[in-house]
Amino acid sequence: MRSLTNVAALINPESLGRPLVATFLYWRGFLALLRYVIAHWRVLGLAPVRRVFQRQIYFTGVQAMGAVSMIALIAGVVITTQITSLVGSANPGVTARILLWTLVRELGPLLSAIVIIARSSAATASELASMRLRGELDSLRRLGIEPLDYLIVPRIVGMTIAVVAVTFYFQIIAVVSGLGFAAFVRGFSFMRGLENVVALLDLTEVLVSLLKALVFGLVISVTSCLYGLRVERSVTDIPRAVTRAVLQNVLTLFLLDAVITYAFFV
Amino acid sequence: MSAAPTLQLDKLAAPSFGALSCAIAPGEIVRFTCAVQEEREQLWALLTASQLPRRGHVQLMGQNLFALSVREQLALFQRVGAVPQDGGLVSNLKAWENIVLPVGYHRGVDPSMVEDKVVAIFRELGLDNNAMRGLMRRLPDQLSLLERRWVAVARAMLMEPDIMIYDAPFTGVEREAAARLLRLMIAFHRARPERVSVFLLPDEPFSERVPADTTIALES
Repeated sequence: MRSLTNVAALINPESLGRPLVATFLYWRGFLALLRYVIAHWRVLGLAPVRRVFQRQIYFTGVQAMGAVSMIALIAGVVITTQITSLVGSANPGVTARILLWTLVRELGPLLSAIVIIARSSAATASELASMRLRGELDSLRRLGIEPLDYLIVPRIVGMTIAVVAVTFYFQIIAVVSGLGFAAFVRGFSFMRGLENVVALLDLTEVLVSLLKALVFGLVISVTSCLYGLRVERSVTDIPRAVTRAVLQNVLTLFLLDAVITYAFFV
Repeated sequence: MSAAPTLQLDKLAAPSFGALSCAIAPGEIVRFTCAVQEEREQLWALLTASQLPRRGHVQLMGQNLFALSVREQLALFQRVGAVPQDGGLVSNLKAWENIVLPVGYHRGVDPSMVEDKVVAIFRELGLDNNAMRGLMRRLPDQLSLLERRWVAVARAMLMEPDIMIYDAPFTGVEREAAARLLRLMIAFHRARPERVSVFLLPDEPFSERVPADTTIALES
């Protein structure tokens, strides 16, 4: 009887329908916001909007460098240690190839994006949510300023550019630190390892990595802004919006990572 | 022939008041006195288009406010200086950044170009250079209610609007500071003959000191 109730709960149209509706609303809002940014990117030419854009790059990109450097360093060391213990230190070609696959293709974009989600996604969603609750969006309209132009466009563009830059930075630190550690501990030739990495690094590899970073940047920025703007009338909506933004970002990130990897490397 | 009204309310109705009609000619100072706070809040929301009326229209500088598109409303609000009761400042901008936001955004004016004007406004309000410097560097949450209103007034005045709308600007303010604020508002009003100043005021003694050409008492 109990198992029948469980099955009924599983096929309950409400429990099935809600996530579907939520997913539909998320993607509809996501695409609408993205379309808006594409149509209005020229507002970045206005000095006050440019200042918001620069602050966003500083906050999401420059201020994240410390955490990103640390994680990249550790990731590089851990991955290289695993590779060299698997294939030995006399095999720089294989080491370079695996390093490239794991750090440049996968971990670089993914870990950079996760650092940005932890730092900036939550901050952006909560900042926008509290601005909305305080009526600051209406205040901007009373000044003749469209809140989406002033608050959203520079945040989305700034965050996306920052994610691309941080990913690139992560990859360099991780590869160099990994090879450096292997050279120091295992007597591996650093220069030969680096030469192998550069030789294996073709245009597709670089472009796909950049594409991932770009897509992740857009997902993180648009999702954070979307959930921040969606709060209704209560302060208790703010932590809810933040949690949803972070969770949605992580889920979408892994999903799109799988899709892009499958599309280009399978 | 008389000039077209700058502000015209035509049988404007909200949940807390009904069928309010008036026409405010260029150059006038008008005082709406509201015994109930809700009435004032709703009139403010209607005049700034953040709420739709139950019935009626608001004609602002010849345009039907509620028939305009969002972009048209935004263009119209560039000519309106709205000063909300709490200042309506952007919380992540310092006081100075709040003041220069609309002139920088709409007119591309460099902040240093309006420094003298801002200093003149705050001198009128009784601040010396040190107090001004301290105030400008602070975020809205670090400002008192009166300071937030000062910032909002300066921000609105820099845009040289055709119409100023003040929402309960003297409420909760010490008498002398309120008198200084009123002097500044009246001087600003008179600086341009066609400018209209609208005061939404609660029923309190200081409201009587606003030298209005027209007084309209809102009744539920």
